[in-house]
Amino acid sequence: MNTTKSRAIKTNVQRLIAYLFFFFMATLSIVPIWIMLVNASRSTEQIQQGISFLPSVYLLENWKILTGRGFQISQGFLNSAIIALSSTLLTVYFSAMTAYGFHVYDFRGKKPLFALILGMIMIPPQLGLIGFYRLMGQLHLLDSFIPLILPAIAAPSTVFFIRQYLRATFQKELVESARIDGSSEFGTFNRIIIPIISPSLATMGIFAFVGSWNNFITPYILISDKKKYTLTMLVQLLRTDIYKTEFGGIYLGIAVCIVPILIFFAFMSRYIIAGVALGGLKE
Amino acid sequence: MRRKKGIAARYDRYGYFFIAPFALIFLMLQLFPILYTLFLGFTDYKGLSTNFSMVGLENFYSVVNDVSIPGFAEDDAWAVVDQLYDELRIDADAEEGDEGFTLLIFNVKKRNLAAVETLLADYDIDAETIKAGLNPIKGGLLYDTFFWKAFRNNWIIWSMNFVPQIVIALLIAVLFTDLRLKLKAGSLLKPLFYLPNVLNTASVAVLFATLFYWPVGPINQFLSQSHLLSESINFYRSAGWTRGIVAFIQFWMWYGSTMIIFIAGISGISPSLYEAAYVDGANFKQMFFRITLPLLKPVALYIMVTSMIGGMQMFDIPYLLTNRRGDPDGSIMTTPVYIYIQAFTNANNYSYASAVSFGLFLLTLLLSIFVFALLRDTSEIKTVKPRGKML
Repeated sequence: MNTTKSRAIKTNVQRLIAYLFFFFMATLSIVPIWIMLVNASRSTEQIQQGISFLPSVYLLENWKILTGRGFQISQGFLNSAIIALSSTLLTVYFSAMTAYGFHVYDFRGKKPLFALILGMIMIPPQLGLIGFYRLMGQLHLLDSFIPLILPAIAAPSTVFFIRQYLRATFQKELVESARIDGSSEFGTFNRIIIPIISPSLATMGIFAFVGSWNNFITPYILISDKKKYTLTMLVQLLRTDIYKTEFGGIYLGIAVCIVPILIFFAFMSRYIIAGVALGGLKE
Repeated sequence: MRRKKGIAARYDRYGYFFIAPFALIFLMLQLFPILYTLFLGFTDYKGLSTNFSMVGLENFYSVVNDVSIPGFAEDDAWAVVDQLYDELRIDADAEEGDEGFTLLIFNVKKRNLAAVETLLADYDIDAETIKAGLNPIKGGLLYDTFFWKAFRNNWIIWSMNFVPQIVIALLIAVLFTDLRLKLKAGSLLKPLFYLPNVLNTASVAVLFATLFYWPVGPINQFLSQSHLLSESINFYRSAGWTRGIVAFIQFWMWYGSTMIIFIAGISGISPSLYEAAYVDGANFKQMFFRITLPLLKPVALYIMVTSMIGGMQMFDIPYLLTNRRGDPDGSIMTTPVYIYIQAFTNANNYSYASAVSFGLFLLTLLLSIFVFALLRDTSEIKTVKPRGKML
């Protein structure tokens, strides 16, 4: 009786320590972001005087400082949105198509081709950057969105995940009865298969979107026309002499770049975390 | 492949149509650029010029010679200098010494040595004399101290982030999955731990540069307001602090992801194992070291390899955090930053940057294989699924 009681107390103490530890780590995650959001609304003078965890009223003035020095937010936002949305659509649709092709049909060379795709997942995309840069130069595609969007068609890891999903959900009878009803192969894929595998497409779409939105090095190397800057490229301007110590403007600039992704995350975090967990599971 | 009969076989050719768009883009925009980069690594492609020639392994390993030959008359010496440059594009100089002029020829490649000999034969200099004046200098990636320093930086920063990352992530994962503690609030806390991972690295770099600003950034303000320090710290003047900050940012962005993968791994372990151990009176420590840890090995291996590949590719943060050259003292000049500096600043040395890219890739590959061999146990091990684009 006494031992169970002391054991319960011990468990409760351990629980408390665990929660304190969690609280500390959660604070660590949030504080830098919180300070940034708060400082985006404080004047540079206030920021230099000390830390505050409460917002102030200088948002509009910071906005003027930020946009007054060539930080074309709406243009950058639009560019990022165009690139991220088109990349996501291409990645999701063509990866589904490729995964379906590999899963349903038996064709010559299927196995080595799939092995090649698997191998490519482990190869960092930066490896071919200089070749890619020169190739795009020769094709006169520097300063164009095409090299930032088109490669999204071939996303090996997404193909792999969707194929895993197909393995679990796909029924051959469905395709066979569609054939008997006179549906074309692409018609079957578009009308019957896509709706069935849409949960996996949503998960992969979220990752594709975040990845494209956050991409820095590719646009940084390929784009030089300021009108075509993406948000991540604009944000690096905040580290240049243009802004020096205009802290209010700098924090607001970072906030503008991060807030859309924060909102996106607020709605999608459940799916993102489920997707990350999937990635680590053994086959 | 066994031939199938009837309808199915006729449909199978559609497989090619379904994978065609992927295959086309994959070959053109991914595989080809990689092979093209490898090819450029064997050329002398540089600057604004559009033509280049093959130079073999020179970017990876080369020996060039400085040659000094004494005993020239002044006119002869300057004539040779001009001739060397006009005919062979080799830089040379002449210097007055005790016995007339000494001819100094710079960076003579092995394949040019014969041409130099022929040219000097006109001035009665024989091959033996040239040989005596040879002063070999080793060059190329293998002897490039900047490259090795950059590679070392990748390692130092990665290790500084990985060790605490894996320890804390594992601790959180074990606490969350503990059957006895039954901790709640996972659905609120997990997203918070993961949150920094979705932020873009460029913004994060600018944010931390500003947070650690000297003298009045928020970190310094906090340290002085709480009277922890009397004087503010100029973080980005110190190699140690700067590396530490990069490592912290990496930790901050990735521990949540690692934790989630660990939780998934632990959830995959059969609960009956823990129940049996609990009935047998095993304590927390025993369960962790005898059940959880051994069964998590494949997951840990996966995390380690993907994290290592990511660590070797570190660019955005070390590039943007300080002066875009990895200072102070080149302490955060990682290999990708070095590649960028080589290819896209001043000299535009694309061929050498390509060689560095491949050097880095080969080293990463070797290390991954090494880690696999080290951690792989004799019992069966399942294939590790890569984290892919999420790196």
